[in-house]
Amino acid sequence: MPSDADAHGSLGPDPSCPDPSCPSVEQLMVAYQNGDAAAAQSLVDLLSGRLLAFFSSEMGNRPEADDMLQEAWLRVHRARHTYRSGEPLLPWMYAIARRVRVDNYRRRRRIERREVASDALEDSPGRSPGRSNDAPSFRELVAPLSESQREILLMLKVNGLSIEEVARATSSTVGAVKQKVHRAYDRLRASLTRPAVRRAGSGDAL
Amino acid sequence: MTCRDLEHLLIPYAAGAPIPPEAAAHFAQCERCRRLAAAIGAPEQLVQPSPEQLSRIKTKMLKDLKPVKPLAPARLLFSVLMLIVAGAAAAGVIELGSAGWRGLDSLQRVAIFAALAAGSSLLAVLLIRQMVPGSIVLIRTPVSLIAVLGVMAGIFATLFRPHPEATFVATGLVCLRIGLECAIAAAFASWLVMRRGAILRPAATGALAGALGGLSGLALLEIFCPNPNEYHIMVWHLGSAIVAVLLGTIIGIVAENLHGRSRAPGSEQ
Repeated sequence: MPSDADAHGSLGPDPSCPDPSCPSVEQLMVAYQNGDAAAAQSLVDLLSGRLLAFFSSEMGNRPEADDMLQEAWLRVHRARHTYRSGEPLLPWMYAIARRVRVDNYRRRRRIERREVASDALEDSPGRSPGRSNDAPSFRELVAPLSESQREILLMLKVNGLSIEEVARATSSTVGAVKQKVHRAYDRLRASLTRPAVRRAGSGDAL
Repeated sequence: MTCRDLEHLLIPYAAGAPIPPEAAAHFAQCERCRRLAAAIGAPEQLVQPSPEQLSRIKTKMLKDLKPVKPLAPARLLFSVLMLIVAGAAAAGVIELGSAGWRGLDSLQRVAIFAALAAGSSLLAVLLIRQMVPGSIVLIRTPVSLIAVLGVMAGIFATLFRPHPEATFVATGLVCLRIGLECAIAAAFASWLVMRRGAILRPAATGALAGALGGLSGLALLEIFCPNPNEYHIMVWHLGSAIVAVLLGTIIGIVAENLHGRSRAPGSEQ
């Protein structure tokens, strides 16, 4: 079953299924809670592309993103009883995925602190040149932003969540998310005047 | 249209919506916005998980797949949490008596216990939302804690007056101990109710559980303690609730760190 990573907004029925009676991801989740193995597999097929994009767009480190994807699904599996029927699935899923990302980031910082102490390395987390060979252009664009601004733009652009869904996933309010987006855009405008980022972000997509 | 107006349009645009025609006029005059929109709208190269990885994930998930019982309805959880708050305070009153209640006038009784009920209700709702990832956030946790404790402080400052007190610390420590004992019992019982939830933010959850317990302890002290000194109430009664919040936060932070370390590479070996 192909992934629908290109879809935007809340997922409706499985896009690979032309029949309108195909279950939505929310219905699949309820079936998964009830022990339906086929529903669990469908969810993994449908959402793994989005989750991997969420993990890999910032880190730029594919093996690490793969590990986080697996960890996210295991946490989803352990916490599946906390999904409430009738609620949108994506904010629930991304709240768990975000926690995986935060835990991974902290663990990496701990490791890097130890390495810095012993080797005096000067390597910024997630932005080392060696890791960015296959990085998407979006990474370069959002590199000057703060972690929280980057995360929100990532959810909006790469994962196609709405502002409301981002607010739920980040345990924030809609107003706070909008404010962060505006600040991010202000900083992006400023950074786009710099030559290095201008090259990455000036493709004419309009 | 200003650059700020355009940013509102760029939010849905980033998520894939088409750029509206009214933005074209602005782009004609503003190169920076045109460049920003071009950068945000550039197609994103998405990576896809390999079939082998998907297969590994499915194998792990299906290994122990069985039906799970969803969380209890929010209303039931709310009722249980409120019963815990009231029950812990009631148990203390049965043990220690209600001399404080008899010393309060009608206005003090209504103001204090209405505020305690409202504050407990708010904290219980926020605590229940912590159990479910991706819940709507009504109010940020620090704001809610400051608001609830601030309202209580305002009520005490308005309705009570300072009185001379020879044994301020000695009697105060007794109240602090009683308030904390009640708070810890209520917070622990709340944790028993909450433990099935996916606790994604242990520090916030700990602070809210501590605050809920703290309000239970505060209710007990207002019913039990006959001391009308404003400073005694502000320092020792309200102080016990603040200490409960701090304890809950610290326990949450420690739990979060232990949880993070337990997932560190090599820790599973």
